[in-house]
Amino acid sequence: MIPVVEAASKMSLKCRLFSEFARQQLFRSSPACGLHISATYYAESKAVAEDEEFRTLELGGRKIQRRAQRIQREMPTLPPRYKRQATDQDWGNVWPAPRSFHPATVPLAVRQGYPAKGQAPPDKWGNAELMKIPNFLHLTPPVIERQCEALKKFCTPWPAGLENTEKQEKHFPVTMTKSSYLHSSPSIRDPKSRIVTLKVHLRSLNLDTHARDKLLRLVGDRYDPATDCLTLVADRCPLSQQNRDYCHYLLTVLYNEALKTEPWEHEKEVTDNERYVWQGSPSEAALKVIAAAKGEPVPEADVDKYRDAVAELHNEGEDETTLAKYREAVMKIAGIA
Amino acid sequence: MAGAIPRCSVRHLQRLFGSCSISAPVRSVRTSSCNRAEEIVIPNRIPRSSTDILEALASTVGRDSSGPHYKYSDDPYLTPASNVAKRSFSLSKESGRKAARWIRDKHSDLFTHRPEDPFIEAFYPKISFTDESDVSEDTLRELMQKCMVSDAIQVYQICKTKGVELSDSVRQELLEFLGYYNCEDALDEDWVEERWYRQGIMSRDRIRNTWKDHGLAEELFKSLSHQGSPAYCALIRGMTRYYQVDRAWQMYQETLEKGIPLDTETYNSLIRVASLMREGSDLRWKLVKEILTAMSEAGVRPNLGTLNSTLESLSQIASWRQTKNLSLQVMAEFNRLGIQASLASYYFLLIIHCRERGPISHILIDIMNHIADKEFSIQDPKDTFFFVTAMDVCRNHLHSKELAKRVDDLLHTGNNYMLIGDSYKESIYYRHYFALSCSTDTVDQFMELYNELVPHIYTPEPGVMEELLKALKVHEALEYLPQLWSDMIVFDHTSREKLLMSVLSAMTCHQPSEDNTKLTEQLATIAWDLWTRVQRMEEDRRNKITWSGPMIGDLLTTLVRCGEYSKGVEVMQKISADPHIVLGSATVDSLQTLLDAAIGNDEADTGVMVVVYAVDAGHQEAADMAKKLGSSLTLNAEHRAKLTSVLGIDIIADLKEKEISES
Repeated sequence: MIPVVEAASKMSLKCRLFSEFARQQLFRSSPACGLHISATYYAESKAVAEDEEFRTLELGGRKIQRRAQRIQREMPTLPPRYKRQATDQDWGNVWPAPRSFHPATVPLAVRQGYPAKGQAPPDKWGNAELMKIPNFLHLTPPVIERQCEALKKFCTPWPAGLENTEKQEKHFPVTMTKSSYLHSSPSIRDPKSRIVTLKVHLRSLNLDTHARDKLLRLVGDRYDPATDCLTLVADRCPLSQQNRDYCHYLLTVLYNEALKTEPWEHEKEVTDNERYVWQGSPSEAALKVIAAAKGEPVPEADVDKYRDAVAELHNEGEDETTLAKYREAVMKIAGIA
Repeated sequence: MAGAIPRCSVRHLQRLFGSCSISAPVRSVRTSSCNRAEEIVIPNRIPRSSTDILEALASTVGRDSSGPHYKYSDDPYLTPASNVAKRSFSLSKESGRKAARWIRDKHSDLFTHRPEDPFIEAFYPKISFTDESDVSEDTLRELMQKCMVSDAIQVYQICKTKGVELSDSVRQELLEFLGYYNCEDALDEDWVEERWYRQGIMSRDRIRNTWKDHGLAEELFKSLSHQGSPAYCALIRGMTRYYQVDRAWQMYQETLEKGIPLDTETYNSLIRVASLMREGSDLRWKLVKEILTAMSEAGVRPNLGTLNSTLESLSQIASWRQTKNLSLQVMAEFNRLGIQASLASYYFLLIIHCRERGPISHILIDIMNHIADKEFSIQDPKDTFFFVTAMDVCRNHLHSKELAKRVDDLLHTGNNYMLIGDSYKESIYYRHYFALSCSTDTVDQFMELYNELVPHIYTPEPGVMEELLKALKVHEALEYLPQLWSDMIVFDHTSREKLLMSVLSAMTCHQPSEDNTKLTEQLATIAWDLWTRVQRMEEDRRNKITWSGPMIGDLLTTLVRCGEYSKGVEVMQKISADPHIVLGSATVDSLQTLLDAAIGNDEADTGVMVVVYAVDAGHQEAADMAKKLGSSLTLNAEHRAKLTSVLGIDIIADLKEKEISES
């Protein structure tokens, strides 16, 4: 019990001394700053003066004395900008460029965010959600119109004979694509700007079946059968001009190689064929056997149908339609259907 | 046959790549697949520089007066409104840039990382030259190209000590360079804010000889192997630019003796300083004519500079009676020569014709008819003076708002706003426009202009604000007073005594009635705010406002009339307790108003306080006031005692006698 009390009294004494010292510091500091001196100082000094024999024992924590506070001069601020805006103002002058949302400038009472229970969604003031998202306030339709008008003087008219895609493809079958990049940084270079893409439709190239087959084998998956488009991408040279020339060279070489017939190409075997050809296949031989077994020749139409069905089965793969076709063709030949 | 390429493939490929070859002005592609040759004509790309698109887009954006200039932050808390704040915000931003540059130049060894491609020279520390640096003619030329005067001088000295050979052409260039800058560094072009705020004071002090006699420029002149026409021209031009007119004239005489031809600009510079070389208007004009004749005899064609310098020297003898005619003759003659006048010429015409103490001249109307809707670019340094002077003439000389509007429209056509000069000229321009509108327009029209310009384009100075308040008082348009008061708070005008006086006297004109209760409330708020602001000002402030009698009187009247009786009483109590805060004393009318209100509210204490104060102030009507108080309210013994002590016992006794006699 006693040691605790002593400790407590020691602590409180220390605190008292410290706080008195702190208070003396406050008193000595410059009179320029407004002082909020706690009232307890006077009370205590009075208490000390009166009770010279007994010192009051104060247990317990003491409230932290407030430090001297500088009186803040209030700076008068202007009213928000939207109050000065007329309803028929030119918005393009107010928000000319992309800018983070600012509630004092945008006159709309927009709200965004998940509403707290029983409240409306948060308003635009201090709304981080509105500030985070990109806004397109700089691209209102009248502004876009105005900018397009201003840029028209740099545009030339579209050439006369190129109205639709067919004409464009006829006259300009090859499309070269290149991207350039602009950075807001000290360097204006970007290595991605050397990449050049060349696209051409194979129907624009004069290819017979052998050449087409050879070209497709050479290019591999650079050809897209769905769009009949050959795409060559060049990025091996440091400059786009060099890559462009390389694309031209590549197309030239591919075309010429495709048209050439190498002496060893005759060694191509049936298994190398890119598509199943019915003529000369075991299936034809089998049909001949069947026809011979039947005694009478099979009608041309049925043969053709059978041929198409088998070719489709091999080339397109097995699914409901091709199997059905095959079944019908076989039944026709067998004479069942 | 290996690798046989069908011949048609070559043509086919040529056709494919036909579009990729760059040839003649218009590219056309012939297709071989069709029977009839279809020519596709592709128009050529319209040449454009790297910033043309940006400039085109920028031309679609105008100035919006609801927000601040783009150099300030667009935020209610961060936008400056008062002139002091605008100036300090922009100059402090620039001082940050200057500090950054200083750090970069001082610690140049820390800025060696150079990731840019292409290299940007402006980002890196300036090269400093020491005695060991490897310098040559080309270094000197580069430095001159960049307008770095002190560095060029240093390099020149290094070349001399090292004995590097400098050709005559580079010496001539250096002579012209130093003559133009007078061997001193000009303010860097990057410090736009400092240039903007460099006041007209600088231009007023310029008529002093600041040429460095026997300085480096003259040394260079002597070091030239052959002092020909270019050298003399450069030196004369430099000397006249810095007002070393005597020696410039000497040089000119030398050229006449030696028969050295001079060029147009040199003659122009001599004409410009002709006024400094002679005393007396007719002698000055004679000198100008001499130089012009010499010019024509030498076969040198005059140009716009000749016109402007002639008009400039005429403007310096504007008090001569012949000057006006001469100026018009000069204009006509140069017009005949096919020289188009610039804004500087019109500026000089205005100062010659529209003089303060002279007949009214309407030359500005003719000038405006001539130049309306035209776009100007800077052709002469004095072009920037035109708009300010024109607006000054409109306001002070002609008092014409329509003409001022025409001048303003001209200022806002195309890029003409760039010719407003610096911030000083801009503020004076708008000051004149504002004051003119204030005095000639109706209050509503004027407030339209006010709302357009203030506070982002122009912040009125205290003097203009005072005129404004006077105008409001005269036109009794007090509904604008609350707006003006809040503007005054933002512009930091509430510490100016004259303005506060104007506000208070304007408010006394208000007669409260049923349909303007809102305004009445607002005025009461303003009055109370004014009182609290002044009272809150610290004692030891430099320009602390002391209340004057009329001010306190107006304040009391306003408070009482607009329904804030209790606040009026508070003010009264304060001035009764500390009469020293008022210089003089409150006016009688205000005290009477307050007394009537006190009587109306049946407060005898207040009434007595008012009467006591009135007596202390020495107003003659104090006795009548006491009588009124005594007759309207019942006074207890304490009140009577107070009144007796200040007035004398008669008053109350008189009243009592009257009562007795009447009853």
